[in-house]
Amino acid sequence: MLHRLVILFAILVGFTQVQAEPLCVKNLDGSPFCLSQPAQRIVSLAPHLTEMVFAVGAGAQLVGVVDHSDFPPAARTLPHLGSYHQPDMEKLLSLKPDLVLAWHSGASPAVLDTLHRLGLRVWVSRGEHIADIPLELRGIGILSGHSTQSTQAADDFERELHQLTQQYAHARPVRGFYQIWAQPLVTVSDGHFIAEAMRYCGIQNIVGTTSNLSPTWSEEAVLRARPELILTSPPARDFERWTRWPELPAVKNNALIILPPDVLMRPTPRMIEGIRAMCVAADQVRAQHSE
Amino acid sequence: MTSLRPSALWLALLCIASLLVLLANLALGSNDWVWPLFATDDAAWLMQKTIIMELRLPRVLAAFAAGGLLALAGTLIQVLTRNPLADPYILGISGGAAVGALLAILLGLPLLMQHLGAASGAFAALLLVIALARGEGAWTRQRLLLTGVVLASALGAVITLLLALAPETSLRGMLFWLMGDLSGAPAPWLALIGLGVLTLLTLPWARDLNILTRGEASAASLGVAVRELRWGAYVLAAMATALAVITAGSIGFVGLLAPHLARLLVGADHRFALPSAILLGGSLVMLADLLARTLIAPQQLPAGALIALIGAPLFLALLYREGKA
Repeated sequence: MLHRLVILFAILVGFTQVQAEPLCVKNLDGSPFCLSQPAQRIVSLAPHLTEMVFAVGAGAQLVGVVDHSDFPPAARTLPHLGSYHQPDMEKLLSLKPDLVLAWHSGASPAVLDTLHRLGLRVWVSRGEHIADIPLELRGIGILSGHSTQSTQAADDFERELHQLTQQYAHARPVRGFYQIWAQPLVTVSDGHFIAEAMRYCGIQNIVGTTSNLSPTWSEEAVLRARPELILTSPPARDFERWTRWPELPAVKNNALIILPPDVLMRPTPRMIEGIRAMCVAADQVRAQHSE
Repeated sequence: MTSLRPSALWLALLCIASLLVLLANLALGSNDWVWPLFATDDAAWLMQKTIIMELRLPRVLAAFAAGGLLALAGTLIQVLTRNPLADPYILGISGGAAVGALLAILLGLPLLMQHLGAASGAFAALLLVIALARGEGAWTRQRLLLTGVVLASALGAVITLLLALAPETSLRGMLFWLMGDLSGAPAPWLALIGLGVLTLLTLPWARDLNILTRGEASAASLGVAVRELRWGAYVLAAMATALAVITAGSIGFVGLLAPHLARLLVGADHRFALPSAILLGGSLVMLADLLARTLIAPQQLPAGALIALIGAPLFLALLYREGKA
């Protein structure tokens, strides 16, 4: 009898605790965003958010994704809602999500407006900086009830970043340029997460700061800045263009580097792989100079 | 009197057609249609009701209003300039609205500011054209047309610059706005009420517009207050265009097409051509938006891009038939 009472008590206590502690994360303006219980039907409105839901182990709770949600492969079989900018609202609504994950610079304001009007729970995250990645991992973990795994993933990510920071704190800066697109020549400026990745490896972005994070750049400006390293990600269209300038340090150093595919294009935990490849490329340039 | 009947018949037919297109817009979408009577469970019907009332109805009303307003403006501008190539955008109003809206998108301002940006851009362009085209007393057709065209090209250049400088993340929103898109249509009631009011204001002048198409001198000799009529028509057309552009972005072609289609169907009498053009314009945009939502769902297309695809063949077919007759 006493045994049973203890169990009953334990259940009651456990129950009230769940009730008393809603799952809370922060909105972009710092206000709290809370769910009373872990989300079981999650819709992700950006490919990188889809990746993170899987990364925290909540892939099975995902019921809808947008186009280009191709990683991990399991994401491809989920119901698709169209483009991240204008998802199909009818389909979204019919999936009856209890949590919609949205990307601040992805979904159009009109879409967010409608979602709120329809009474859906929408957590909007920034997804702009490398520092946002662990924050979002933790947030998605809390809201989906996988905080143990998400804390682990976020801690791992932060530890690896910390290691890189220490490793390259005193390394010689290498002047670098990142080519996103060849025609027109599009690059990244400081503030873009790819430029942040470069900084972790001690690569100094020759583009510097511009109002637009992915500006169209002049070839002449690249030549004048004499980068020692030129980076791009596949598909590396027209990347051989730089070999027309044999005097360019990057060409002389044989430092026209094509980084691993996909990993650098989205602010997700996979970025660490891309950052490491970037650091290897920078190390090669430094080694050539010390010889 | 004999030519009145077929015109009235056409108008009635257009009313029915518009209603059918409207119903189709409410019934079709990426979610299956559930009849209230045959709904298997309440939840499914409730979901369908939300989808129809909250997503489809505001959108189809906005589509009809935007199309109707542009058709009304197009009809007036074509009479005003006596130029069959004129459309509501020729006077730079859509360019002004576009610059305002794109700037708001570029600066990442909230949705409301985007609409306010479009509104203030439209009215700034409108006032600029009035101020510049007025001159000393003489208020010629050519002067108005040229002022509008030059202002429109200047604004077009500004739009191109904004697009070139915009980051990728806002580019898609900007392009959708420029192509005409109803997904973010604000307050369809405003556009709908605007359409009603402007139509009621214009219809009593329909006879005078008929006379004006024969030339100002003959209109004046027949006792039409040409100067007042011209000003009135211009201001009404500009208001209609601004309202349409704020509602649905710069949807192209419908303002040029609907008035011509209406004249081909019901004849040049504006008492019939004007309401017909409004119904045709409204239906065209509703139809285009239906296709935009469903054609390759869940991908969404901008409705503006589909209007020319539907409208151009329709127009060419009617023109060909007219030529043979």
